[in-house]
Amino acid sequence: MLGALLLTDMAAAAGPRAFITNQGDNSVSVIDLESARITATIQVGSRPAGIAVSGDERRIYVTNPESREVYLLDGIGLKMITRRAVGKGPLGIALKGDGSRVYVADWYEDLVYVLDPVDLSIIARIPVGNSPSGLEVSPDGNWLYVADRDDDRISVVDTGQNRVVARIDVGKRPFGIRAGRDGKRLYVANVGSNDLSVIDLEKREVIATIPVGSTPYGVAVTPDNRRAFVTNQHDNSLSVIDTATLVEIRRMEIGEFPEGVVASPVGGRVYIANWFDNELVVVDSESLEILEHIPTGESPRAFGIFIARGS
Amino acid sequence: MKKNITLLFSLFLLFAGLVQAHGPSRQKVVIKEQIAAAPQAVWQVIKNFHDMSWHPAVEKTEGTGGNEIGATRVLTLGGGGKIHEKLEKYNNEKHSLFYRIEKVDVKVLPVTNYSSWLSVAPAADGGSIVTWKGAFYRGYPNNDPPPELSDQAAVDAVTGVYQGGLSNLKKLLEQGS
Repeated sequence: MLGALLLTDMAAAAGPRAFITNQGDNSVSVIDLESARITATIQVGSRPAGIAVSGDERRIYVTNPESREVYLLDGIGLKMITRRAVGKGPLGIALKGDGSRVYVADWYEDLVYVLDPVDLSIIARIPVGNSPSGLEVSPDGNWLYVADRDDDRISVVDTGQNRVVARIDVGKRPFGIRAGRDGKRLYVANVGSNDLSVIDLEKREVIATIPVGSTPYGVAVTPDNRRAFVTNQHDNSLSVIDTATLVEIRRMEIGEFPEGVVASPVGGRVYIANWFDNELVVVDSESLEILEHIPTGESPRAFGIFIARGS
Repeated sequence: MKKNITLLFSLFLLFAGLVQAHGPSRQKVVIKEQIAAAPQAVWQVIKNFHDMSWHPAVEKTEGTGGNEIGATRVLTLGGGGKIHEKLEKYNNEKHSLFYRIEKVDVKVLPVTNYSSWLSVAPAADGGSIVTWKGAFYRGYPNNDPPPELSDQAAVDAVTGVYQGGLSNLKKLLEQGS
């Protein structure tokens, strides 16, 4: 199994790290965010796309839609712990905040798989809508939100019962979704209508639809809930949304084919994976200054929350 | 052979409704060609969205909108296949344009969700580097594609389009034919 590991820096990880799935070279780049560089590369299955990171960074979950597997990586030892065949097209992946459940959306089977976080065994299969894509778990762990991409809808799953209890119509082709840390709102990037649906999670209804750039992919929300960021794939731009006024305050050039996006859990930064440029871009979430371009592996997608939210 | 065509056609009909459906991994092709001509001269030849006469595979280009964002064109290839495209970005100063395929039969070009950048940059020696790059998914949106609709088939087809076009562009500009 040593062949599966390529280690470029033996220093124990001190600061937070980003785990970037490189769909083009079947690897995960482990990036130390303080020094802004790759400190390890881990080989995974075929065409990795989705990513989820446990709060203590010890368990890294990767979906490989091409080889139809989920991989569990050791975030400290930097090697694969186990893997499991899951469905026909596992893509979106999310962790419950307490790490007790892994959710994987299979967009060919229209199911969400519920997996054990330690051995990836299948605990349940939840029928959802068509082509489920982005997933997000509410901060209190009670609800799983699923973007049913080809139904133009969000399914709300009760995580205790493992079944859909509500559906919310959004824009066309919802893909990436993210909730604010206060659990009050869900932001949904609609790749077909080039806009962002903002859902009030208590009322379970859309309270605003904000036009963004062309073919939006992912959404991130700052930990203070004040700003949301949307990656516009074909527009090569990042939409910056003021969540109080629900207005796009800026659309900035960010690099080619921006996709996965995550706000730093401690605030101050937003990280964007540029699929065409093969880099992770670091932006100051207040001033919107571009701070760093960190090279990644080939064709990074980083679809999911690729930085630990904190234990 | 007939059986395969029937199967392909029925698959195409089945998936024609799934406009946004695509396979799991997007593909990337980047082809660069160095041309011994000034960037402005190269741009002059390729800058018109409705003039693809520099590409040997294109028999005819029809469309409206000039070089305005949203302009559309239909390319007719030798053999009769057609590609419908839309201009999405255009920068005359930076010598670049970005367009998307709106509609194409996978028998003509085995891709879906295809977008492409064509640009000219100055080379160190006074010449130019033309970059044609594309992002797309294979022609078959589900798992286990037939070989002619696989990721590799898509990459090979697009690579052929770019290489064929850029080699001819180089010839036109360097030999002045």
